[in-house]
Amino acid sequence: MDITEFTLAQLSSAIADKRVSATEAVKACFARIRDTERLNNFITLCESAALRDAALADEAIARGNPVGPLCGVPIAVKDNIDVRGSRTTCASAALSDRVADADAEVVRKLKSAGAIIIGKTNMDEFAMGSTNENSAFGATLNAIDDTRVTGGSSGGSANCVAARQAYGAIGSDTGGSIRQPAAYCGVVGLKPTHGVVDRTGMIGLAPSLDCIGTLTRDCDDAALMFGSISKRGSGSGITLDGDMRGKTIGIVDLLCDDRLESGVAQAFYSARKALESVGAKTVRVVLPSFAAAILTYHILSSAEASYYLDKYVRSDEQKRALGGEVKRRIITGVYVSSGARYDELYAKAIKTRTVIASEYVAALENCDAVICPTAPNTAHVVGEKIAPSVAHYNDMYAAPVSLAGLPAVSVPFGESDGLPVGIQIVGRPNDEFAILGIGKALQSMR
Amino acid sequence: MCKITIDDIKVAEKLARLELNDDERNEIRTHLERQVADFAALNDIDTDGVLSDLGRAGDALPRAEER
Repeated sequence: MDITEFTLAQLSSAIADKRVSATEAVKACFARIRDTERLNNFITLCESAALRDAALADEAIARGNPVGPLCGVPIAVKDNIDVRGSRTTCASAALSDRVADADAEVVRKLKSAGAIIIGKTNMDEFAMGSTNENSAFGATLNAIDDTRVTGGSSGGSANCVAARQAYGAIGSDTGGSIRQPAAYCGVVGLKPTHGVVDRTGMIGLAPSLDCIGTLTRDCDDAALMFGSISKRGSGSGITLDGDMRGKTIGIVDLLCDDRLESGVAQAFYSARKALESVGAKTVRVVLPSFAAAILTYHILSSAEASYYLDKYVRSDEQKRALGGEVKRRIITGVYVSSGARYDELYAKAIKTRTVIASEYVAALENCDAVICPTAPNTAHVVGEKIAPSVAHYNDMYAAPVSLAGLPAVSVPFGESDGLPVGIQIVGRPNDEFAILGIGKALQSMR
Repeated sequence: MCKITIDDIKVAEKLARLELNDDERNEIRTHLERQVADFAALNDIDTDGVLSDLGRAGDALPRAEER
């Protein structure tokens, strides 16, 4: 069997049992990266460092030393997160020479768990975008259909897992940047509870919303990776339940929205039926302020980006090198947080965020989780001209969850015209393993 | 619809310490005008009595003029 077809958990067991070496796994990933290079998932590859680390992992296993749950497993990291000795470009020409002198905290945790970092993944510039076409290093091409986008901003991270170039990847999610590309690429994308994964060493977009999370092939792999990077402790030994009997699932009442593609709506309906068929009770959930969430999100994220980006992009030369979407969001952010707009728009958005969050929290008082589509559509054609104001609605289901700071996972379920559809499962704060259990049940019925 | 002028964009450029060319300025003006019109929908949300963002009012950003 081609070892790139193993899941992360399968590979971890195979390495621990000495059936596969870490070196073989790393070499298999780089062979796969070269074979599918046109997908453009990586900005920087760390091949020599990865082979060196793999040899050390193999030595440790051969000696019988205790090893971590990700020992020898090749993992990719989004290029807005520092890996010591590698560039952190944020896919921007403005930072093309920035080399990290220390590991981000999440990378330190991955390495402590034994993971091998194989490279830095492509993304939308400064995580601003939902297609991965806003990259100074070129667009990524979807591994399922290379005429389609991967989604974004963690497009390279989602797509390298879909293309079997890595067993798992780290992404960041501000308003859907892990979940939406996971949906477009047919993989599992976990956005944890806000603050539960340390963001030290990450170049953020909007700190009140930013989260670091995982992209994996299935929910068991997500549990293993999340357990290794979360502040709450180790991921080893966690077994996801997946039993839906006695569980109550809230179904967000939003299917009348005309932006929702019929194929996505159909897949969502099938997901609901599938959960009911294995014992879940479903109830209708109304979130009255849901429609305002995407607007609130864009006011707050643009305002924060315009403020915090100044820390990283200082010189006139760097500012000239910024792409169009970044400039658009900086100007938007300044506009909504200056003059009379500060109270009319920015302060209003802060209050609206509280209302939206309280509606979600109230809904989750009566449910174990709430589900809705991850995105209203599937991956569009690369290069298709979509107005920014329309593209922003790609995150219309993901952004409200970010505003509320809740954990959510996108799980592939069904297809629309041959392209994968993601179902978003939203949980209470710190309920990551519970929503991954529901995701596991759903994935088993795909 | 809210009217946004090129001068409004130039003011924002100064506050952001960012210089746009004429094409960028026009494109952003059009985009921002549409987006700000959409933002008016927030007025439908009743926020009377809502004091802070999840209890973290101290996290609010300074005004762009004060940065």
